[in-house]
Amino acid sequence: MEEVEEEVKRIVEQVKELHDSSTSFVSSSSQEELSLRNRASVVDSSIRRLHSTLASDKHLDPKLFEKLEEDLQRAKCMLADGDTSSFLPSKPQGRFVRMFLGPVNVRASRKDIQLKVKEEYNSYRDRTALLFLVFPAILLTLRSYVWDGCLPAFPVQLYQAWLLFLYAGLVMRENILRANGSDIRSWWIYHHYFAMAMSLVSLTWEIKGQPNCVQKQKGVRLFLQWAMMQGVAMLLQNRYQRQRLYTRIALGKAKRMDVVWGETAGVDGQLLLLFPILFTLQGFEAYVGLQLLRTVLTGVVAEWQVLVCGILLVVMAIGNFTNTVETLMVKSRFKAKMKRSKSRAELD
Amino acid sequence: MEVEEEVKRIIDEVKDLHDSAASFISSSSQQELSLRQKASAVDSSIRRLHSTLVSNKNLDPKLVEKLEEDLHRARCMLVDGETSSFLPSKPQGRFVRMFCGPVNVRALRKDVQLKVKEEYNRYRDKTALLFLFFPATLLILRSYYWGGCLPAFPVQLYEAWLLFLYAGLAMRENILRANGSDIRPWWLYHHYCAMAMALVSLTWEIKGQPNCVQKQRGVHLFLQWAMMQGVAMLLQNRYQRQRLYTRIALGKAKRMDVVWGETAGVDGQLWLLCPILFILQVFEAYVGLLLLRKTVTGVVNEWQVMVCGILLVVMAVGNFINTVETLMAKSRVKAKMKRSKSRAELN
Repeated sequence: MEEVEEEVKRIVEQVKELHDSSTSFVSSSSQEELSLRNRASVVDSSIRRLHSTLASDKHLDPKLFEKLEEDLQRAKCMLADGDTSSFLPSKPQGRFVRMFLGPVNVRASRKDIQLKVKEEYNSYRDRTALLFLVFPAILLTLRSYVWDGCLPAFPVQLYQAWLLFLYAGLVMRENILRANGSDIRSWWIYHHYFAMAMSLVSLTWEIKGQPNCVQKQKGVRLFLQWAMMQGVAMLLQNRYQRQRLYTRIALGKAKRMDVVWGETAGVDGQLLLLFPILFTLQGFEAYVGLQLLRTVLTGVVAEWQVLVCGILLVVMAIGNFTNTVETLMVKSRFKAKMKRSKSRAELD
Repeated sequence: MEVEEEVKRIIDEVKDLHDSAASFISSSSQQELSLRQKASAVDSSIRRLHSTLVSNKNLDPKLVEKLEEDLHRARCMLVDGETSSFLPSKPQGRFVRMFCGPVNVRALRKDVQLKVKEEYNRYRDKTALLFLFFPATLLILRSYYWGGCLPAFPVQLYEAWLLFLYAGLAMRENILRANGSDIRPWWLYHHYCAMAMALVSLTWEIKGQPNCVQKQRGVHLFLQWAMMQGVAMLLQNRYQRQRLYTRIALGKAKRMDVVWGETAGVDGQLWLLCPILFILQVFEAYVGLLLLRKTVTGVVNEWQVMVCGILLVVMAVGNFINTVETLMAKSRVKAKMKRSKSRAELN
């Protein structure tokens, strides 16, 4: 009996000890973290300052200038790619994340967790890209062979609701990736917002039944075709991104500071295959949007949803095209720079 | 050259910083791991001792009560202080993982956790008013401006807003749970059901003239339900705010007794709140049954009506059961508090 009393006393002591050590751990690690953040921010601004000094200084020997710029760039990469990246001043967390999650900090402090987040994002995209293609394909196939050319409302609405949640999940993950330092272009996130809006609008779209549903359901059919195209585009992009990530990881293990130089290595062939297909899909997306707008103008279908979806599709197609072209241009500039520095290294 | 030297210096600093960052991360991970192990060990010892005490029949009951109180106090210290971040956490909800991936939404520090809770309360405050105001406006415009017929677009806009609102609430509550809050799971399921209702209602065709009074009856009932939810939310917000202030005040006074203050200071509000909640739940069930009746009598034969009716009845029953359980748990705590108070006075 005394034993139990002793044990209880001991436990209470242990709890007090634990409480004190955790309090001191939390406060000391916060202090250290704060000092690391200050140092990182100071170094970061010094690098920027030096970079602009170099750029504006006309009296430098151009070879020296290029060497110094390379050194600065290497330092910047070391800062951005290693463990120090968690202490750099972060982009303010997106409004979208704050709107749904509140003030929780979604920035992972450790690099391995950040990589895990990115890997999970890629596997999420893989899982869903296939469904993206299969679901509407099944609906359209069933339409031709089982449903006499008419789509019943419920399966289509189920699909539209699933699309909405899917895009919401993608948007949330991409915002989190950005907060964790990823360099996703803002447009892709906006593209997903537009896609969410399209799913939402299409949910309110009344799917009329017989008779004459071939004409009435034209908008729905075009929507399903657009969704299938999106699925194809997503599958291709996933393959490309996966190659890029593996290349980066492989290079990272070899030589950490040169990860960024490997940006385009190993994926050239895929790029040349990917871009024409993307352009074709974007052209088709604009075509579908214009078709929808035409059905509104000719008065065949007079619902606001058709107009909004048509506008959204055209906006998305133009934005996708513009951003794909910009990405291509950035990559070719990069390759040219890489070739120049390679040849210079061989000369020296 | 100055610039060359500066660049060299920067590179060295970066290397330095890189090394300190790496060592900080590894040492703090180690310390965190050891704290977690200790916390988990202490937690399981407390549980073990507690069950030993309960099963041991030969002990003097007064001693058992005292020991149990000590254990309970120790547990509260563990759970309420800085150590709480190191306790083995509930696995993060599937809902959060489904939308956010494997990001850790558990805040390490207690003050951040409190900030999350405060933001959640503010969010509820902001939206509770809109919750009441938006459908009220729609219904008033219907009577005086739209000739008794609701146009489709404003209602659909409202339903879409409801969907996002409930999604935000569900997400925040999942995060609160991951941060150690003791929100009952039912309230989360209630919000999932409400999300489903908003989604289903979006697909509901809002027919126009003629005879829209009858055709729009379902929409009418839905808006009334939404207003009731707004009232319930406003009342619950007031109650929760009182509880939180009481807890914070007591926390500053005497940290280990926070849990004893659970019911202090909010008794009056509770007796006002619960009857109103019961009435609202009955009304919610009534609306659900009305919708189900319309389906059964064949007035309106859309699947949405049936699904919404079922959802409403499920929500009403669940809300009622959980409100009753919460009341019972609170009175048990009060009784226990009274007993320990009187014992303390006797000793």
